[in-house]
Amino acid sequence: MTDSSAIQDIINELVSTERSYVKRLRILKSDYADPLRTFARNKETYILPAYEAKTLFGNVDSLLPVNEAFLADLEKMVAADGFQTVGHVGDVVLRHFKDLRGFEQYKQYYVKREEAQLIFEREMSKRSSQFASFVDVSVLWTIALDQVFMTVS
Amino acid sequence: MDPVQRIPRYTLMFRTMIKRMAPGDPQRAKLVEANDIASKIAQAETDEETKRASVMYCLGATVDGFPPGLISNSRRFIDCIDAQEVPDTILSPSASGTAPDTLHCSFFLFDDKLMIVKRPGNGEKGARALSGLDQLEKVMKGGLRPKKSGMSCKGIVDITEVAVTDVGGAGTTPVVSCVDSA
Repeated sequence: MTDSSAIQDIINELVSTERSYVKRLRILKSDYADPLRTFARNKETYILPAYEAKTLFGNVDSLLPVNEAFLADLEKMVAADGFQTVGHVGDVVLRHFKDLRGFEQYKQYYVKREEAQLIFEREMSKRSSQFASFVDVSVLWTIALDQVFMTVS
Repeated sequence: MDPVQRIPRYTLMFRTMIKRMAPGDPQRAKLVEANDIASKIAQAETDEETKRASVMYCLGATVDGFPPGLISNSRRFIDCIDAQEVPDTILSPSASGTAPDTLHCSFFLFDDKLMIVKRPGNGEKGARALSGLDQLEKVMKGGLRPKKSGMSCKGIVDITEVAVTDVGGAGTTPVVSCVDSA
């Protein structure tokens, strides 16, 4: 028999982690990717050269709408009478993974990821790097903590 | 933060739900299908690593004198191109009209190095076919074992030492020159 309370726990986990993930993706785009790529267009203002600025963030612009749409449906699902509007967890998940095929965008992200990592490490290790000063230490700290929690939970 | 971790996390949650659902639950079948798709997407990351390793495997097997030191998981192969090595004289206009002996070679470009190889015969076959890189999918799946091709490594240079010169004029190809450090 389906263990409804156990399922409900995981649904809650799925929704709450999706909320914080979308929030972090938005910050990554608005506070890092967008400014660094805009600055890179001008010799006077660039912190990273254009190619590095573009590669570093991969296709994060394409990922954000995918997860925003997924989150919007998950929120509807957990709201009152949500099952009548978007269906149950299997319906919602399958719609986004199969019918909308949104998560296929992640394959593209993986392709550039290693190169992005090398750029990140190289730029961070440069002494007197403008990039390193740009990257807020507190934000990095949050990411590090977050990853620790992800590993243990 | 890293989006790479998000997909494996989904599959973990989907699988946990699947385990807790009755076999006949219609939601279960949908989660199973979604989990298969998510797993394939997560697999794409592993494929990238396998692909990189397979490129090095092909080159090591098909290029004589391929330096093992070139194999590193942080080195990325970008592309290869077939070329002809021409004697210096052809570059000066006075030598035009003569037929110089050309050497068939190819360049393999990595993100930090450039490898120059000599191709066998009259260069009938390109480096991509000789190295098996044109059938990389097959190599990755173990369906094709790359073997000696007659190509031989003639040198490795750091890409910062390479100069590409456009000699000018319509229809001329750029000339690549470099300091051979091998």
